[in-house]
Amino acid sequence: MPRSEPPVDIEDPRNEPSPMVDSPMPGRIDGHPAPPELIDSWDPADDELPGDQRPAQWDWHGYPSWGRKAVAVFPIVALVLAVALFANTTLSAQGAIAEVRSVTGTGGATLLSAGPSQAPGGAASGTGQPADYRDLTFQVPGSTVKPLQGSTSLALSHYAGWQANGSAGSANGIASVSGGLLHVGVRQPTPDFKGWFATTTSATPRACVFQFSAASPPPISATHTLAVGELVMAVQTSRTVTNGDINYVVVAENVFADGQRNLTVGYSLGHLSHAVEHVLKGVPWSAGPLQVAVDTNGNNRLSVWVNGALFFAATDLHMGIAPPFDPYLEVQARRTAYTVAFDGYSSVCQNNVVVSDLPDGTVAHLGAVTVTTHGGSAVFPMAAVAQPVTGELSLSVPGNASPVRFSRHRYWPGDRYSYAPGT
Amino acid sequence: MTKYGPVSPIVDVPRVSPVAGVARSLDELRTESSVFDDLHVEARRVLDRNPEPRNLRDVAVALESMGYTTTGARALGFNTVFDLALTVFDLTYLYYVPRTEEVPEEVPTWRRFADDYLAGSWYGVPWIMSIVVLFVGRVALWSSLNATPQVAAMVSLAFFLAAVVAGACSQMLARRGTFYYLQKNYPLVRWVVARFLVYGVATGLLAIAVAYAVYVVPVYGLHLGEIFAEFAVAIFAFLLSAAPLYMLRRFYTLALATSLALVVTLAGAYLFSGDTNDVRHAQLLGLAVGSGAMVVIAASYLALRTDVDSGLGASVTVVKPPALRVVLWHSAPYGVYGLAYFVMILVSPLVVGLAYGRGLGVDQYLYPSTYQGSVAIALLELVVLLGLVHASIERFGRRLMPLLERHTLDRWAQARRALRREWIRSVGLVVVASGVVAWALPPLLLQVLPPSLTAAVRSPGGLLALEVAAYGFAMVPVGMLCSQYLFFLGRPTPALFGAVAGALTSTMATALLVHGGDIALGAWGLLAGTTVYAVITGLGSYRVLAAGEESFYASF
Repeated sequence: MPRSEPPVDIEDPRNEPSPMVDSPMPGRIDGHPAPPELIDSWDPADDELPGDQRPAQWDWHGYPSWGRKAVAVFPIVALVLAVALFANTTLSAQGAIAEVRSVTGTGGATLLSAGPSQAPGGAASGTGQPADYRDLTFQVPGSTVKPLQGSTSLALSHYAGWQANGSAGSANGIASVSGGLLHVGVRQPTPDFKGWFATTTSATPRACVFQFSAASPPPISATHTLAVGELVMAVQTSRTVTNGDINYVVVAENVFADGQRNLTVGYSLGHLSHAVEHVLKGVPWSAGPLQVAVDTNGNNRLSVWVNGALFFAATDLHMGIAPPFDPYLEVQARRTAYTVAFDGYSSVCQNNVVVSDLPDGTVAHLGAVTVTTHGGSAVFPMAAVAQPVTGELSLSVPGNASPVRFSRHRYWPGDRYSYAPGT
Repeated sequence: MTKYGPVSPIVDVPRVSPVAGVARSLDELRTESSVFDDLHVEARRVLDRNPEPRNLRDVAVALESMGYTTTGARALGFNTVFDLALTVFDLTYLYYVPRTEEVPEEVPTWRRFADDYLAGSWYGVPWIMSIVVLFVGRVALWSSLNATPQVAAMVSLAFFLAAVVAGACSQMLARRGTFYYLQKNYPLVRWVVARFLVYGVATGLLAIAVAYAVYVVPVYGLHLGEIFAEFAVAIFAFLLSAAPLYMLRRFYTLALATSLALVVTLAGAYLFSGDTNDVRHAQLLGLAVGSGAMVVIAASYLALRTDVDSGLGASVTVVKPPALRVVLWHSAPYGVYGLAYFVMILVSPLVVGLAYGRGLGVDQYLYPSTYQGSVAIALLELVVLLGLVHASIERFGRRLMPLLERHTLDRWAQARRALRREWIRSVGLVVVASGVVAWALPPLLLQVLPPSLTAAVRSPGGLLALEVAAYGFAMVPVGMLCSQYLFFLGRPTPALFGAVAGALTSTMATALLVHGGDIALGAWGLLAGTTVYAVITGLGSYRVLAAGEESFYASF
């Protein structure tokens, strides 16, 4: 500013304006280098620096700094990275996925619960959690795939924590899902009993009830008098892999060549092979879907419920089956090819069906049962060994003109649902 | 302008002979005809530099700018420049020509305020229309009431990511684009819009790809992941393409484009409604949303062609653009502000959804329909309040310049008091209005809206979430207005700090509150975050406004 300048004698001829910018003049501060071409700068900070401390590239429009290069290439690099991430992820997607199960209702309402994990894209996954064995239905088609790492078992695609194995061998055994059913079978007849099964990779605590649901076992096609096909629902110690014990509780429907059937309950004890079977009860049986609940502590207590009725119960046994347990959804066959089908399985660890997050006063109907909501939850009494109820749940929510109706669904004992009033 | 080297102080000084003694008045000076003539010349030159000098200081400044120093004044017979200015000031009245001022048309204050309110309300037009269509047609640009929870979770995650990234890009684009647009520097408007869109798209796609690869596909699987990617890209395209329309204030075009996009989405949704496969249905709906976004992109492109290219004229205009990295760097605070702002108001349902998933036994985000539905109804109050924020900031802009022109430099204290009063009046009005709306609107909406849309509020915890979220969102307009003050004066740092602090508070407070399983408490986290945002931006803007003309001049 002019006020800060030293006094200048305006008569001094040396103070005449000069076109020579570089020539020293009175009233000017000497010692500055010749200024480069002036460029308008946006940055007021430039004004605050002494001239000799401003070695910055004045012509910064054209200076190829690293920062400028990085800014210039960013869009291309970002797009390439994005495409690479999309492609790589899409092509290599795998891993267990925790799934949310939903029952859709009118008005966008939904019942939500945790469902079993699924391995996407046909990839094999041997990992599983006990929660994966609850309310399992076979809605996603798939079949056994490559062996699990460190095991002779085959992974069941789309069903995390499930594996297939058996004495029939992988060439002769079948485990595949289609039409909402898990098909387990032996392809070719064999002179001795050969079996194939689907079981879990993680164990279920002994406090839980093992609920199996199967379609009616088909008649056998072979005419040999020794031909037998068996639908087997077994609960076996999970320590087989570590100590070789083959100790299990078994419920089996046997189908003979002459069309006869029987239903037996027993337990087997053995080591590595040739387990000895102890039949506890056997009765003639007729064709039809089979719903079985097995409740045991592996030692002295065993109760078996078939199609909702108590079939066998004892508390004075000496079975010696060490918990925790694995469920086996299995087939056994002799001199015949034979395939059975399961339509559901659940490790039931709680009583009742509970729908939570409901407004108090909501009236809930399921089948023949009607309950009123208290404390935000509607509780349908249902023992852990009771067979699941398939039906339409309806909720009369206070303030709603019409009740919310949910699609037909199978409710297993122990189910816990959260009511979502619409998205 | 960067100055380089000292400026010779005598270049502009007329070379006159020194006068013996010191002159005291014009009468004395008349005896020195040469000096007297020179003073007349100087008076005309002063008026040339400042046509309306209001006081002695204005004249002195003009004389100094002409090169006069004490020495120069003494050469004319005056002790100081101020003494010279006193004499020249008397002479300026001989040459002063009053300018013909164009008196603006008097518009009643209330009518102007109403006009501004309505103009500000246009900002929410796409959202209002989408919500209305969502209620009527059960499907809108970002959501479907018929979606399964899994699909709703994907769309919700996609909307969160798209809104956060697009919010950042839009803020940067709006700041820099408006800067050039108001200067009618159309080549640079086009330059800025093109660059910001390219960089915004690249950033958005990278962010979507990272989320897809790192979280969505590993947790939800490939099919749901594809739905996420599809919706994220479509929503992002829609939001980003609307940014130039906001910048150009083409609200009618925005409304028309949104209408067309909604029609396309609705038509697509109903055409595909026969598909019973949820995933496939969602994928087709995503395509419909993407088609709707194309409509907005086309409208945005046409608007830019009309508004910007027409200003270029027939001749080819060549401009030297600024360095892009410098522009990006200086726009970055506004981008971070936009990002943090959207995180602050949208993160609460995300955190609640994660807690909801954990409560159901799955370690993933799950669409919390009760909480989300209640919070969405509370969000509607912003439709009422956005116009008030706009009207307040427009009023401030109109009043600031006259205020600073009227208050001369020696009356700065009054100017600062006036600015403080303006802040208190406007912010107070928004606080009161927001409080009243938060108190009155939720029960009103519950009575007006059909029961099927308010089912979430009647669920356990829904009413609490609605009432608390209503006050949480009521703090947002307060923070917005204070941020606008700061942006107006080129001081984005307090606004940036407030938005980031609000986002962090909202995230952490919500996470802590819902940790115990009661997800309705998440709304308190939202309230905490927006309160922090409003308080910090409020204090920052008050401080800046209280600094008066210093802030105003510093903004240039």
